[in-house]
Amino acid sequence: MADFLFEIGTEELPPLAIKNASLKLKEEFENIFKQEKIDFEKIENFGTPRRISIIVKNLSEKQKEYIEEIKGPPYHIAFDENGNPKEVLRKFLETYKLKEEDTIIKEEKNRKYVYAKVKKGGRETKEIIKEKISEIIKRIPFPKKMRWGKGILFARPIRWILSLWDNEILNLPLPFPVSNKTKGNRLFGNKDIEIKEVEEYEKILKQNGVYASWEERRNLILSKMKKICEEIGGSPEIEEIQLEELTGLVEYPGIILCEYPKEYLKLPKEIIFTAMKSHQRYVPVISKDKTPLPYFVAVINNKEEKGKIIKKGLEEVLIARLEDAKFYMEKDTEIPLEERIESLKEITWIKGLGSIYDKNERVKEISQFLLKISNLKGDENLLFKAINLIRTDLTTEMIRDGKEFTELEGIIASEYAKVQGKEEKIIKILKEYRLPRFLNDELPETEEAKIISVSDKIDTICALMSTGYKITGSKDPLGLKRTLYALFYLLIEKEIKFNIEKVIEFNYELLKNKKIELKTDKEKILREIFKRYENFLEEIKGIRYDIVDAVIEGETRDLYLIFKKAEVLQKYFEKEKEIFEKIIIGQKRVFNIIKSEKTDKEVDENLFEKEEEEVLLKKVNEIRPIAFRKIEEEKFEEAFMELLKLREPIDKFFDNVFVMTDNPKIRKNRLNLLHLVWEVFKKYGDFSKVAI
Amino acid sequence: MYFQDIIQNLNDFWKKRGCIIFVPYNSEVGAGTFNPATFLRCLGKKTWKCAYFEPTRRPKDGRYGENPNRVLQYFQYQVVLKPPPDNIQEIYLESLENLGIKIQDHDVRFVEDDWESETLGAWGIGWEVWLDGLEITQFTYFQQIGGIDLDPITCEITYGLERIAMFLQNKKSIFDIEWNKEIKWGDIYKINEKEFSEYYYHIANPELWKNFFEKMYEEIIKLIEKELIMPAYDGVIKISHSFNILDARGVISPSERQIMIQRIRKLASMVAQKYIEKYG
Repeated sequence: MADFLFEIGTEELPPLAIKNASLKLKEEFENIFKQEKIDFEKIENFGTPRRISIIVKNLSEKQKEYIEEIKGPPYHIAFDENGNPKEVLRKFLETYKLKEEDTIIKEEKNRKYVYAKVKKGGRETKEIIKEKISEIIKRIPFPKKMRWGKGILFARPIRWILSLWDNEILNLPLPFPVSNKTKGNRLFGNKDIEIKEVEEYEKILKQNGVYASWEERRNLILSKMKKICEEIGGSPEIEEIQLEELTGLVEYPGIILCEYPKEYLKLPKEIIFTAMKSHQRYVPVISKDKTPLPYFVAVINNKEEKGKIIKKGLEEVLIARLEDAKFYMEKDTEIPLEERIESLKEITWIKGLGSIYDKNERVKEISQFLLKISNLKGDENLLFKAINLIRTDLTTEMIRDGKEFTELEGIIASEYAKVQGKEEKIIKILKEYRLPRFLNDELPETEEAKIISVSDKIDTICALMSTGYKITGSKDPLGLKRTLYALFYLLIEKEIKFNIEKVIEFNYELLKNKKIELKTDKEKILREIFKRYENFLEEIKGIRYDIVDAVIEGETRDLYLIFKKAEVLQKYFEKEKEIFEKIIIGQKRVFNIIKSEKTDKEVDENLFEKEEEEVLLKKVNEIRPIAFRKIEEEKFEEAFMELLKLREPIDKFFDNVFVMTDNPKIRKNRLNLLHLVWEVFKKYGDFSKVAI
Repeated sequence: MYFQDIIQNLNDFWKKRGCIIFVPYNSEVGAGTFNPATFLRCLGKKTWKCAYFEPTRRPKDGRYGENPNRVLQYFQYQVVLKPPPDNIQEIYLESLENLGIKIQDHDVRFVEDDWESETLGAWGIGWEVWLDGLEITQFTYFQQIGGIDLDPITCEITYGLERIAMFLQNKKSIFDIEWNKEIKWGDIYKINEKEFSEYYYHIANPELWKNFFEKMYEEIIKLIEKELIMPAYDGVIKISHSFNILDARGVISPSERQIMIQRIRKLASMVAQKYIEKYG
C-alpha cells in the first residue's frame, strides 16, 4: 500500500472551471483504478488557480489477479470429428500464448464454443498509471481548450507535474518536467517547493500561501467576509456564483474591507453594485435594511498585512468607474426620456424585424388587446405612457458605452425617470416590465408591468418564430427558449388568463401589417408554442407530456388553465393510478369506436336493450351540467371528480353491451350514447391521448 | 519614473531577452496587434521576438479630454514572442519588478480574459493582468489569426503604458502623467483629445469615409489578386480606421456595422492566407 500525490501545475486557470476539473481528475483516476482492479481507500482532490491535484490514500501496489474467459471459435470448427484440434484452435491458442488445457468448452444456445482461460492482472500500479496518464489529462473537460506548443490541449499551459509515490518521484511519460516539486503562491515568492512526503502536501503549500482545498478556501473566504462586515454592522451581498469565482481567483483567501466616498451613494444601487461586481469582482456591503453602505469587500491573493497598500489601489479603481457612471448619468439625465423616443426608430431591434420603436408600438397594441381579453386590469393611459418610455435607455451614454453598465438595460430607464421626477408608478413599471427575464427570476408586481411583460414576450416569440428562427439543440443565440420559459413562468405564477390563440393571431396580423417578411404561418407558431409548453410543464412542473397533450386537445386555449387542468390529472395519475388508468382505457375504447362512424348524436331511449345503456345515459345527463359548470368556474379538481363518477357505468357498459351489433339502428344509437360520453370528457381534455 | 523612462525601461528589459526593438506602424491602428510585426509575423513557422510601443487610435473612446481615464489615443507597449519560453509569465512579472513594482507587496493576478478581434478574424487565450484591481496588461496566447490556426503559438503581451505610469507616479488622471520632468501627458495631447473628439463625433464627413471604405475595399481586393501583400495589409489597417471613424460618427446601423466588420475580416483573412503562401 502506498499514497500517491499527483499535481498538474498550470498557468492561471479560468476560475469557474477549476472545481469541476479537479473533480474530474479524481473521477478519471477512480475509473481507471476500478477498471484495472486496483484497490485504494479514497481519493482527495484539490484545486487552485495554478493547480489541480489528487491524493490517493492506501493505493495497492499491484492490480488484483483474475481469470478472464475469452470466447473462441465454435467447437465444431476448432476440433475435427475425432476430437482432434484443428488449425483454427492452434491459432487461437497462439494469440493468447495458451495450451489446450487452458481452455474450457461452454454451451451457448445449443452450440458449443471453446473458451480460453486467460490469467489477467497482477501488473504494477505504477506501470498502469504511466500508461494511462496522458489519456487522463486529455480527458479533463474545460469549456475551452488551447494549444501552446506541447501537443496537448488544456485550458491553460501546463508547466509542471508533481508526482510522488510515498516519498519517491514516480516518473511519468509527459512532455512537462515531472518531479517532487511544486510552486507556492506567486506573491509569496513563487518558489520551487520540494514535497518529501505525500502527507505534507497541504501543510507545506499553506506555508507558501496556497490553500489547496477548494472547499476550505471557499468557506474561509465566506466566513472572513462575514466577520469583517459585522464589525461595521453590515453584511456581504454575495451570491454563490460570485463566491465560486472568487474562490477560483486566489490561492490564498485574503479578505480586506475597503471604503468609498459617501457621495457616490447618491447613485442608484444597481449602478454602484454593477461597478463593483461585473469587472472588479468586489463584494458590496449592505446594512441590515439592505441599503448599500460605503464599503466593499475584496478578495486578494496576498496576506491581509499587505492590505494597506493594496486597498488604496482597489478603491481608486472603483472610484474611477463610479466617476464614469456619474458622468454618464449627469449627461444622460439632461435629456428627458420623452425626447429619446424618436431615436428608437433608428435602432434596429433584430435584423429584418424593424426598429425598437416598431416593437414598442406593437407592444402597445398587444397590451391594449390583453386589457380586453385577459384577467389583467390596468390603467390604459398609464400603460401607454410607460410603453412609450421602455427601452429609451438604449439611447443613453450609460448603455451605449458598451462597457459594464450595458447590463443595466431596463433599470437605467427607471432610474432616470426617478431623477426626472416622473410619477412613482411609471418608475416602478419601467423597472419591472422586463421581469421575469428568465425562469425563476423576480416577478413584476404592478398590473401594468405584467401586461407589458406578457405583451413584449409574446411579441418577441411570435416575431422570432415568424421569421423561421428555430431553437436547435443548444443553439439559441437570441434566447427564444429563455423568453418562452419566462413567459410560461409568469403566466403560472401570476395566474394570468387569456386565449393564447387569439393573441398570437392578433400579434401575427400586426407583424404582417408592418410589412415584415413572414416565413411561418400562425398555426405553426401556435403549435411550436404548445410544444414548448409541453416541454416546460414536463421539465419544470413534472407533468407528463401526454397529460398536457390531452388537456391541450381539450377546448382550452389558455396556457394557465391548461396547467391547472393538467396539474389535477397529474395528481390523480400519481395518487390513484389504477382508477386513472381505468378511465383512460375507457376513453380510449370510446374514442376508437366513435371515430369509425359518424353519428347524428340524438340518443333514443326506446332503442335501449340493456340496463347498462340506461344507467349510462342517466349518469351522463346528470353529470354533464355539473361538470361543465365546474370547468367554467375553473374548479378542475371538482370537475374531474364528477367525470370519475362515469367510470363504473362506462366499464359496465363495455362489459355487457356489444356496440357494433348488426342492427344498424341500435348500433347508431349506441354510438350516439358514446358520443355523448366523449363530449363530456372532451370538455376537460382528450383522454385518449394519455398513454398507459 | 517618467513616462519616457518607462518605455526606455521596457525596451532595455526586452532587448536583454533577445527581442528586436521595433517601431510603431506609421498609420492609425486600433491596437498594437495591427502592426505587421504582430499580425503578419505570427503567421507561419519562422520564429520572431520583438518589442515596440504603439500609439493606438480609438475614435469611440474620445471624451474631449474631460474624462481622466478615457482617451482616444493612448500608448501600448507590445511584446511578441514566437514561440514563448515556458517561464514567460515569470519573465513578464520580472519586467514589472524592473519597473519598480514590488509584486510581493501588491495583489498581482492573471484574471481570465480571452482576447478576440472580430475584424482580424483572430482570437487567443489568456488574461488581463491586475495590479491591485487595475488592469495593466493584456496577456494572450494567440490561437488563430486571420482565421488560420497558428503553429508555433505566439504570445502577445500588451502593457497599458498610461495605466502603469499612473500607478507608478500616483496620478489620478492620464493628463497628469509626467512625460519628463517638465512636460505632462496632457500638455501634449489634451488638444488632440479635444479636437479629434469633435472631429470624430461631429465633423467627419460620412460620405467621404463611406466612399473611402468602398473604394479601399476594391483596392485591397485588387492588391491581393496581384499578391502585393504588404500594400494590401496596409489597406486593411486604413479601412479599419475608416470603419472606426464611421462607427464613432454614429452613422452606421447595427446590421450595417456587422456587415462591415465581416468584410474587413474577410480581407484580413485573405491577406493572412496569401502571406503564408508566399512568405510563411
